[in-house]
Amino acid sequence: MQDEKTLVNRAKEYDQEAFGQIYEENFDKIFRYIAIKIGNRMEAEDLTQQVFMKALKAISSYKWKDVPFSAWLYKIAHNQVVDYIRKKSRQPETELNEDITAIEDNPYKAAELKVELEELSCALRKLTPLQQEVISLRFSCEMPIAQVAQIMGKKEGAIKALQYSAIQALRKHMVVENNA
Amino acid sequence: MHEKMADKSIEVVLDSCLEEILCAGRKVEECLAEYPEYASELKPLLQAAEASRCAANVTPREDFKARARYDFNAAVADMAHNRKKRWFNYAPVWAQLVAGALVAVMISGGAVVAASGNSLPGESLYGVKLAAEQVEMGFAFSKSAKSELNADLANRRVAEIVALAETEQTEGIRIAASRLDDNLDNIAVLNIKNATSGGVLPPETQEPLVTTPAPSDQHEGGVASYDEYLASLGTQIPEMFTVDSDDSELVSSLKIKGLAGYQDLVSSMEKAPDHIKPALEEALVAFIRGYEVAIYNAGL
Repeated sequence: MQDEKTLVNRAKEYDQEAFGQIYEENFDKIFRYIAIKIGNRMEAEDLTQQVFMKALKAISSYKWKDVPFSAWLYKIAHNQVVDYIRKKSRQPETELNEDITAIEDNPYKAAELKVELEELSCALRKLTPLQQEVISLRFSCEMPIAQVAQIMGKKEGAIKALQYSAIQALRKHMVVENNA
Repeated sequence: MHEKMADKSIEVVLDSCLEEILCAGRKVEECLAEYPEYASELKPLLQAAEASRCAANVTPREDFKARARYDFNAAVADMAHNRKKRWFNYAPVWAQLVAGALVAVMISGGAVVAASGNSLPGESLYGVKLAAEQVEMGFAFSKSAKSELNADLANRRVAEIVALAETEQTEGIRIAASRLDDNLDNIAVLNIKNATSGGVLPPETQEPLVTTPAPSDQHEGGVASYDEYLASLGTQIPEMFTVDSDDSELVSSLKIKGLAGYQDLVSSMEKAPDHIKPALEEALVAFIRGYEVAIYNAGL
């Protein structure tokens, strides 16, 4: 934690190497966190980049509070997703088509990945916001329960109970969609 | 491998299995074999978790990442360059104070200071305004007077945030919110008891007063719930701002000032356009958390 604090302090001084390290360590995780929430990889790429640009602009106001720095990044990402979904929900219904061949060389694999991600994202949106958050942090970022609890500002026991109900609900919605 | 958990709840056993699968790479079948008494209930849950994990195992395109990394590095370099130029914004407080006061005296005495009263972050007179506030702080001698003044300054920051929201200046809102946080931190530290540094956290901070957005749990689809969240804020005044009969003069005053600032921020959030709301929400969270600790410490 002390090392991370030093790294963040260097980033606050706009140290390129420190920022580079933070970027590399967190980019893919933040991307996955966003991708499973919105179900579209290409849009998730753009939103992920916006998260880091926002973090860069706001780093001077960041205060170390003995929680992982990534908690702050996830908060920015969460706000980005909320903003994105709100905008989408106000636009006329359009299919979130993405050019899957632009993502993978193998179109079959790409199609499979796309369907899986969309199914998960669709099922995830039927959960409560807190359940969504647990699943996103736990499965997209493979985060230990203690860290999820820290980021969500709740006790570990509460997160375990939330995780249980979230997986139950997720299973129900995934099964329903697969059978439909 | 690890102790049996026959007396534990299914939530605990499930988490233990997930920890093994996610972090230690174990197979679902291995976990089921370890907890035969839970196997029938665990199996569908672990399978759903495994399917979710596989579906979530996506990565950004390498070419996108390379381009994004390049853009980001350029932006970092740009920020570092601009920072060197903006000496006044980053100079030590004493230097800002001296420079601000000198400018004020040399140009037109108190007129500049007065003119700076309505300035906002990013404007040329804002530094003078902050310097004048530092002078004001220098004349507050008691702990209580300093706390009161910091609460007033926090509300000035709220007024700035409201004005910045009207002109849609997200970055300015974040700067003002950061200063607001400092003012409230000052109150907490001024009133600290039996601690060597930092703020004493009230026990209830385990459960955040405002989560990041905290929409209704009943919501289907997980979208467009932000409006419900904002609406709920308008009608719910946090309990911490309710004045009790046994509150000290300082605590009562902090609660009254806090409530005024809180209502201004909530009202601003209701009117603000979508892209401004996340910055206002961050400011509101900082405001509530800051006041929570400040009021708690002042009441010790």
